[in-house]
Amino acid sequence: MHSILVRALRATVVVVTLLLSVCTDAAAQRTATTTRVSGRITDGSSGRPLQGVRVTVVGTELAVGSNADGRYSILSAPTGVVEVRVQFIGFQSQKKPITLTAGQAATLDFALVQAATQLDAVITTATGNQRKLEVGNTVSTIDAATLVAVSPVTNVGDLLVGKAAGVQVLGGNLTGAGQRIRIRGTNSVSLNNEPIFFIDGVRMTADNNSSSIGIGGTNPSRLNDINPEDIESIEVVKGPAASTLYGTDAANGVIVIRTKRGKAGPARWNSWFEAGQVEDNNRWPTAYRGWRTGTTATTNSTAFNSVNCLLPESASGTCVRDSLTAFNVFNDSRTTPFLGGNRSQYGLSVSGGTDVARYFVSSEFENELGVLGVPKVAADQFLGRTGTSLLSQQVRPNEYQRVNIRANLNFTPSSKSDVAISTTYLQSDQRLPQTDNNATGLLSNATSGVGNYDSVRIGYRQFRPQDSFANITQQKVARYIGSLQANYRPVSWLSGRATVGVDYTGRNDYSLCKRNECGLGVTANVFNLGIGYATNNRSEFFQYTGDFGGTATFKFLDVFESRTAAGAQFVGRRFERNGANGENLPPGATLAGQGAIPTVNQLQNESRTLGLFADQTVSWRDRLFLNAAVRRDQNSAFGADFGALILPKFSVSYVLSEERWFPKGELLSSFRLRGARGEAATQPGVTDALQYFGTATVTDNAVDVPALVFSALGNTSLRPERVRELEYGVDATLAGDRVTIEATAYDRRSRDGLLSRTLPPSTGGPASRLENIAEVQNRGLELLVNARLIDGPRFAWDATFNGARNKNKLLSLGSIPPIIGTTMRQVPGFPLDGYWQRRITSAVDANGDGILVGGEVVVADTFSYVGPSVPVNEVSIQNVFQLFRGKLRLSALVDRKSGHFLLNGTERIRCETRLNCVGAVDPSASLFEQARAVAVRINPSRTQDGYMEEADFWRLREVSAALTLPERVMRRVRTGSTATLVFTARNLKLWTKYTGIDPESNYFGGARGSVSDFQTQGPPTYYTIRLNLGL
Amino acid sequence: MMRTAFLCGVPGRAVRAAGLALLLGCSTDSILEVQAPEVIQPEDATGATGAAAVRAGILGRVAAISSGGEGMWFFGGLASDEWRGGDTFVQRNTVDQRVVLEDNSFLSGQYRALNRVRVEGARAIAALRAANQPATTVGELQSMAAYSLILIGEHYCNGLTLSTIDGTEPVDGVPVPADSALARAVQFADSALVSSAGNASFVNLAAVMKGRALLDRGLFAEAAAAVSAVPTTFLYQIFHSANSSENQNWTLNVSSRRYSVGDLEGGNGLNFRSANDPRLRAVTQGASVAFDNVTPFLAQLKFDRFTPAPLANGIEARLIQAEAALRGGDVAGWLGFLNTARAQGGITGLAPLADPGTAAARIDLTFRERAFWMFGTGHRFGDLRRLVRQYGRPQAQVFPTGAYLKGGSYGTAVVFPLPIEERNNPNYKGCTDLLP
Repeated sequence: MHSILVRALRATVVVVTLLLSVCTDAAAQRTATTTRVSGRITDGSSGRPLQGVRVTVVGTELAVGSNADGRYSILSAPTGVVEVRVQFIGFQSQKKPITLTAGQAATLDFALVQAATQLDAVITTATGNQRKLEVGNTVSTIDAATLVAVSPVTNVGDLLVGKAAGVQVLGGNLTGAGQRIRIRGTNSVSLNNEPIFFIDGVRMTADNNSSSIGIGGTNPSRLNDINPEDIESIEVVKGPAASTLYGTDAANGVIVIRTKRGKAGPARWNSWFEAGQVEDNNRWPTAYRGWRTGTTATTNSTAFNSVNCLLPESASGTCVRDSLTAFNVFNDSRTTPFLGGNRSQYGLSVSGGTDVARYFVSSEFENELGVLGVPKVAADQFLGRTGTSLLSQQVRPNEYQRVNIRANLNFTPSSKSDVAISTTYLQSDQRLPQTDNNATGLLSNATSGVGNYDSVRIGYRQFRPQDSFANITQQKVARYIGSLQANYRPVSWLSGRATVGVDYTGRNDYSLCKRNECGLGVTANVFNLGIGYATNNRSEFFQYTGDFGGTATFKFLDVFESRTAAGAQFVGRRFERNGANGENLPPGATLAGQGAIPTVNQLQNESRTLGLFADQTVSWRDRLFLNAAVRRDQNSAFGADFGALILPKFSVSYVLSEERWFPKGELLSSFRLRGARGEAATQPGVTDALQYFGTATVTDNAVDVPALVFSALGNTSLRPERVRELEYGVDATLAGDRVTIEATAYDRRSRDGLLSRTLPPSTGGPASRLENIAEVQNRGLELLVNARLIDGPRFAWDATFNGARNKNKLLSLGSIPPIIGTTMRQVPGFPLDGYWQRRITSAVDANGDGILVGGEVVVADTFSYVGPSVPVNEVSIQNVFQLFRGKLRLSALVDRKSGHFLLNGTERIRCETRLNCVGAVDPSASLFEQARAVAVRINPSRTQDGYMEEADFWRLREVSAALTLPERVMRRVRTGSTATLVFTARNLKLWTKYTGIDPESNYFGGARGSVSDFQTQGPPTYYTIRLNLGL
Repeated sequence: MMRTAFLCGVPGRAVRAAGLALLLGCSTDSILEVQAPEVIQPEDATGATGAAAVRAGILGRVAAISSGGEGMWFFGGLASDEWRGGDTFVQRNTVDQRVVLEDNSFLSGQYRALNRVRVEGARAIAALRAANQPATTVGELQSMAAYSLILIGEHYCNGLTLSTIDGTEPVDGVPVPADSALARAVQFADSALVSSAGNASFVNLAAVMKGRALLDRGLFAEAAAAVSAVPTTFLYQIFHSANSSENQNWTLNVSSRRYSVGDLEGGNGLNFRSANDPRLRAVTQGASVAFDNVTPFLAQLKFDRFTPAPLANGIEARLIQAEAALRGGDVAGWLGFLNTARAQGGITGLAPLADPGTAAARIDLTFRERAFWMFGTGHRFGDLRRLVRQYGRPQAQVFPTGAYLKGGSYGTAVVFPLPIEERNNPNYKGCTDLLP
């Protein structure tokens, strides 16, 4: 790796050196005539000094921050009339001219005015920091530091929910489970649709489903390793129009995380203590059973089978029903697997330093116990069978613990340079339950219960909680992320930057079924699990980033300003795994190596991307900004016949309100038009271009021998999927700066879309091959409205509305026919992953007996489109009330997703093969329930149409109340200390017509494809209390 | 001055040009070069050792279409009376119910696996020949190709396609009758007979393949002639181990209980369990219900987890001869072959059979003997189809019919359609018919 970085560095240094060297003469000339400007920045209303204000000299690369006393000092400023600009979150920016004389100091003070929002906030771009108004695309900024302190946030995904228009987050509903994130819809048929992540300048591993051991549902995400408490802000770069310079893989958007930094001043200690409760408040279906007495032993209902007399058969006389029973294992205190969970979190941070060196050090411990567990009656059954009690990790199989430490250092040795070092190390340990779509898992056996309680099955089908959770599944992670970012400004108009960093994750997956503990279920040694097994897979993920660039800024013709940036980026990723499995364990054994049948596996792959980019911005009178940029990428996964990827980008931003003729006033104080067009890409997998053989072990005449099996056709012309996006919009500030509106429209199209083309089975080779043949379109609108509705000293009301609409359409599949799945199809002219099914055209109880039979339900002969599986519309509304001069902060966030369908897979399987659903068994069931059960179970079509339900919902997502103790109280503790007590709740209330467990059930929550509500846990409800202390 | 500022003080264009060239033209191949140790390059699959490994890979593919994977050995058994679906997967239940839809998601892998043996087998044969390996190894793989075609011909509909791969490109096949697959199987078997000369086991393997394909084609005398030299004790097996694969007769039945041994299924089914036949040894094991909690669970004890499964054996040769003899009117010869199998088949407790006296009963007995001897080895569905196709019996008197245990009634499927994924072959427009 060292040599690679050196080479990349060398190439980039050449570029940067060119920029530096060719300008030496001019630089020397300018440097000799520069001087100093300094001053103090205060809050205009209170006079208090403002720390951390960004101060820049317009038309140069000079930038500094104010210290704890609000003072700043800029050396080497150009002489003559210059403009100094100051920007700070929560205040209106200001720009003042000053005349500087060579060799002399000048003073320029600022008194800032508070503002709810501002157009010219500073955002992070691929070429460095820029003012938002200079950029022709929208970038959503999330003030993570504030949110975490006063909101029910347990992971990074929670920070994104409902906070940025166009960003859809489907949370993992188990403790420690990962989330699924889509920005502006689904782009790719066959590739990853998740955004990429950068943290403090380096590419970060954020893999979904990050586990080598399945549990039947959602698995952890590496994104959850990141401690939300460490995050200062998150910026969401939504698509190719903005993400071009992030290069290959950025087509799905980029999420840029900046962690907290120290500020000059005495040590500031912060600590936080959080405790909470986790509950399952979802709706769980009841199991029904129609008991029958048959003519043979196999047609008799007994306590040991699920033989049923179902409604249609009962109505037609095929069977005679003796009685009807119903039992809901979730609602019975004896049998419910939801025992309730809890969480706790303790953290401490200290920050401070001088103008030259600043530090931020923090550490936190977090623990969350999930809601699932083994009820007492089940634990007693285990004890009775084995003579030993379940271990605590078996009784409570879902728990997450993490401890992390972060140390961020900033050095500013001179006004010409600064260095930021970011390091974090964390360890997590989590247990994951065997559940969801899993033959031995809890929810598949609980939702398919037998419809009655007996002392053996206790209402479950075949595996009871103790049978499922005797399997211990663990994941331990040790992770280090470190980066060094250096900026050097040799002259006022030129800066160079370099970022190097690594993200290393060591993951240890472990699963254990001790002998005679698992798989023994109600019956016998099902799946032969009773002999025991242990699996241990150790994986390493190593991602490294080198990012180098330079920026030159200067004015010309008095009214123009040029900003030229060029650089190179290298991103490498390496994955290795060693795995061991031991089967047929002796009694007491717990390690893979102790099994009588040991097997091993080893995996290794690597990918590298090298990108070069150039970016030119020209502005006119600081109101019209034109930008053109290009990035050239090469990647190790491209096909041999494909060279480099060239990605262009253009944008324009026009702040009309700066024009003299603009009717600027109290009603409309700022107004900007913007537009951007850019391309980004998604790269194929590391071996997708290759033709290759795989390995296997074959038993040839009773002897195990090594074998080669043809595994991949390869595609020498394989190239990345390109996504082009046009985005345009308007930003406005109204009502005396109290209302800000951002409205954006976009049109995104992929070309060379990579499709895992299904090859005809008769080909006798690999099942599919990636080909560049698909075209996908996403069009949409986004609207963000921030409003300070009431702004008084005793009471303030802020409201935020985020709305987005996305229409997704598959434009073309090239020459191949539509891709047909059981419930979803990829059909040109329709959304990706759309639901298709033979529709139920009528269901009429012709004989009026209240029971639908096969002939009374009519199904169409052909498949037709049902609807999209991804929400079309999303809305979030947040209201924040501040009372008693901000001492009490009340907040509520509701969000809505609509326009989509969800396959209620849980009820489908209950009606189709588990035979315990209301529609198949209970004569009082509605005709709707009966019709869909008949259609899926009896009709020759076996259509699942009835279970594809509209999944619109409103959810009261977050509620919080934060009480800041009065200063006079805290002064008794220590002058300047603060204390805030926060009460929060998450997922409090759901409004929906969807009949399944929850419209946000997240099975199949991976990087591609769609989701399903399939025997999957819904979102739990959190109640937390938190104390923030500052000393 | 203005110009100097605009160009950053660069007087000439050369430096900018050089920078641009660097930006766009850097040679970065070595930076981007990565190793891919998980994959084996095609050049490693050549030479004597490479070809041997590829040959072994084909044996693995054959295991996947026989006892080592859930292919037509099992789906054919589900659609016939051999196995009952004891599962909650609708893909298995519908086949058990003889409702076989082309969008059954399990079908795709099964048809692909069958064709892998044929297509990849050709690649392996080429590698063996290029490496000057003994012709007998080629003969063995030719028999494997014949076997895959036999299973295709026995199970799938007319209008099936047999595509290939040329380099990295698929070559779409055109629809052909199922019998065409059987005819190709005979050709492969003939080639295998020649190539296998000198290896008695491989010769016998090729002979049984040829005999089975000819029997399927209704060429009874030729079939009998093909297997006449095969000793009754001949046995070619698919082996299993913890490192390769399990015998799915055990996995799907004994272990997971997703399959249950059929016993008088759908009225017409044989009494695989209640016959208490020592060749099958089906028993009720543990609790009485299968994985679905509804179907009575019956376990076969013929195959354990790693028990090898016969792909071809001398018993089958005798059964082919017996059927041919019966077809030719030689009742004594027919009975003789059946009893030879019983006497030399390695199963104790099998009494000699007596002539039941009628033509229909003799046919019944022939197919019953085949069913019990070859239980769980992918013969039963083809045999039921032959009873309809070659013996003129109504399908309703051969296949399971009537009320289905888990609701509804049995369907009428007597053949498998190609999976819906085959419609990605532009030449394939669906089965031309669904006849047995």
